[in-house]
Amino acid sequence: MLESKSGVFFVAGLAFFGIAFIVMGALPYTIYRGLPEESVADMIQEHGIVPEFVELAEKFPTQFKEYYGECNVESFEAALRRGHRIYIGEACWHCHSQFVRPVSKESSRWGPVAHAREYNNELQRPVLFGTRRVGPDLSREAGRRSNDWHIAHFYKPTNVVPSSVMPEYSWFFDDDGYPNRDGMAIIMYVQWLGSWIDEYPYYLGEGPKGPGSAENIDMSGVE
Amino acid sequence: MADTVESNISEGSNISGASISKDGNRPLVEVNLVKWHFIMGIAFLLVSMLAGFLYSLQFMQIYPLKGIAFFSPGRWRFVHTNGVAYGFIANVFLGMLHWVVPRLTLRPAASRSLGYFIFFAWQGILVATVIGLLMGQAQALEWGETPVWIDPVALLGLILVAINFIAPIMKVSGPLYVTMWYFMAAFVWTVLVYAMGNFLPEYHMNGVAAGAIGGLFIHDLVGLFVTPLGWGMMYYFVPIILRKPIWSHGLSLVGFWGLAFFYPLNGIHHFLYTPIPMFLQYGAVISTIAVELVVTTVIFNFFMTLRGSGDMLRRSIPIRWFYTGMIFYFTTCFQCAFQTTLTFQQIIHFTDWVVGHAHLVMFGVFGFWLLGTMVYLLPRVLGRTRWYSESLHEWHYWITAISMLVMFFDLTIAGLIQGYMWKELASWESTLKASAPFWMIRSISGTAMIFAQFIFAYNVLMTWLGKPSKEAAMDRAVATDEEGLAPA
Amino acid sequence: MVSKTKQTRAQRITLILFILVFLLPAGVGFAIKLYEFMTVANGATSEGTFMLVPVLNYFIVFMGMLCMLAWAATNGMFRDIEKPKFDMLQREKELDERDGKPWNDETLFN
Repeated sequence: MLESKSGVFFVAGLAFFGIAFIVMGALPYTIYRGLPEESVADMIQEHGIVPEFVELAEKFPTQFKEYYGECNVESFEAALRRGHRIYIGEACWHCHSQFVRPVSKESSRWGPVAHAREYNNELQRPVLFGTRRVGPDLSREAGRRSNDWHIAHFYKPTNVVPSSVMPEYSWFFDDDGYPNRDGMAIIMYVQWLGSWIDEYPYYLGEGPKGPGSAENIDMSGVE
Repeated sequence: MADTVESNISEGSNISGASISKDGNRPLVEVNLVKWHFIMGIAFLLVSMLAGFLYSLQFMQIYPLKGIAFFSPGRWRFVHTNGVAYGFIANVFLGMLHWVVPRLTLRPAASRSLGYFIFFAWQGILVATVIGLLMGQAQALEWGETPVWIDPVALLGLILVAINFIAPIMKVSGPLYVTMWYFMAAFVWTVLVYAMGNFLPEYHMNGVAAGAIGGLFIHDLVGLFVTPLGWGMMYYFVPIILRKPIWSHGLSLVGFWGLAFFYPLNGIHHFLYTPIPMFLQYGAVISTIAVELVVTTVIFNFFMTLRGSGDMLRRSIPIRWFYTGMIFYFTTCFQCAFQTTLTFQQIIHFTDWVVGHAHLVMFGVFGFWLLGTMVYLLPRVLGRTRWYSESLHEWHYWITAISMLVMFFDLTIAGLIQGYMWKELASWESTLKASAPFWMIRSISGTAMIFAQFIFAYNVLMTWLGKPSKEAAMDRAVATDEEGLAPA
Repeated sequence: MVSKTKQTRAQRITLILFILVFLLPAGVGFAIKLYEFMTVANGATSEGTFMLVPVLNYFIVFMGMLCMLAWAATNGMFRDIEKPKFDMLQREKELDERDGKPWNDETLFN
């Protein structure tokens, strides 16, 4: 094959495809070796347990004890991991995005513009940007609404938001109507999203300048 | 010229497509494989369209099967997209390859048993995928939600497919026809793209970098798996049905190399205004517009080929599917060039505009082409001389095409309304109320679309069972009137 | 039909025109990408380094494609560029006839 000049080109072409394939795997490894992603434990250590988790433990002491045991860092981490898995498995990410764009006045609706470092953690693997927004963006959801609101909403969304098109997630609740292990997990995951930003908790339109103030656009995420 | 071709073909039997191949006694085309891939493709088309319908009901606050985790609308959404991509499109493409590659190369696929093994393995992968998704084990990668544990198996399957079909193509000496260029590229690209999209974001990268790869995957899956196979298919079937060669083979090769050089790195345009560095987003915008220019050459070539045979659009159902798909293709690519600009993105990102675009590409273009191919090939692989009913084909075509257009315009307008309402900071609930009528129209047009596919499936079944065709009976009644044969 | 494999004048002009009007702008787009790649490689923006991988990869695949193009050209694949389209049609016709499906109007639509 190598005796003709065309054969050389052919082999070279295949070799380039091979190199491309190796580079795709090897280069990321060398680049990211020195830049470890944050684990869930790291993030909890840095930003603490969200108060909603403590509230959940106090409100449903018997259920909480059964599902998660003590209210501590380990049980919070377990709840987050489980919630993250449910968020993916139930396709939440196909109707809710997790990033705030610097355009379309999004920062006055949702909160500060998303920054690349927010996605450098274990629970963004694979990243959950989302591509469709049927429901609201969730990346600044932490502390925006109470646990009670979320419980009512997951049970029957239209009771809380009449025009909502979100399905009812009755399998997040036990027979007595209390949130079960999955229910607590998904609520914690949602209450955790955005709890790391400085302005946390960031309430809709209720910033320092009052409801609907559009001046406060944070452009920190734009180059 | 004719002599050399003649000498390449040895004596064959009378069974459709079963000419004996050059080397040995194996039939050239393994007709059963073509048939069964098509049948499974149609089955998955119906299943995944029903899944999409079930999901769309959610938008009208209708929840059938409420309270059963297994039937949660979100999980059906996974089944909808993955079923269409890997169940319908991949299956029918495989069937088509088992027909086209041997006939173009005059050599059978590498191994008969490998072909059957791939068939069963692929169906197994699909069933496992559907079950895994319904059990809530999805992987958070759009168009690649296949549960993590299935990914390596699927990749292995794709490699085997590549081996099976590249072998006969590599044995061809002399200039390659453009179809074979496209197919060869598609085999290599699909393996690379699948590996990249499914493994890198899961194991190698995280955060924004993985997001960029994810965007690239969504994009390349359409551009480097479906598009080259689709165009290769068009370059094969259109000349054959029109009974004349493609207008310019040189121009078709320009289209191929243009795709090869400029397509791969456009994916970031799916995530404009994300924290991905701005200059890369600009780069993606520019090369997307470049690809649109390359597409123009391909479309031009096909319409020059059609020139003088416009009548075939009326007479031949496959040609009608093909050219409708091409017009939609041009529309979507034209749309791409605009919607990837940052100006458009401000408004349309996250809205139903994108959903409309995706439906037009996946079904309006590639779905239409595959349906046309099946209309042409199914009677041959089922061993019948003609379809059970030609008029059912007319119904199938018109209902599908019209409901596709309705769905596309409906979702596009809905997307614009949503985008502008969000920008004006309208309350979230009011945007939902504004979208509700559009979502209803979407479900209605979807229902019509599914209904049309059931018409097609019924037609296939009746043809398969060998029921006497209605038209044949009619023909006998009106004796041999040439016009009576015409509506095809 | 089979013997006539020469390009017509119109086809040749269209081919050149398309290369000029479409492929060249596309090439310019690619050149801009390459320039951006150099900027990142020189460390202009720290956040962009992670994108080196896909861009570098794209560059390598591009080189692979270039080699394939050279292989095809040196192999004479483009010497008689319009020939394969006639061969393919002729072959298909013969195969169909062997399968008992002669190319007449009867079989045109099925």
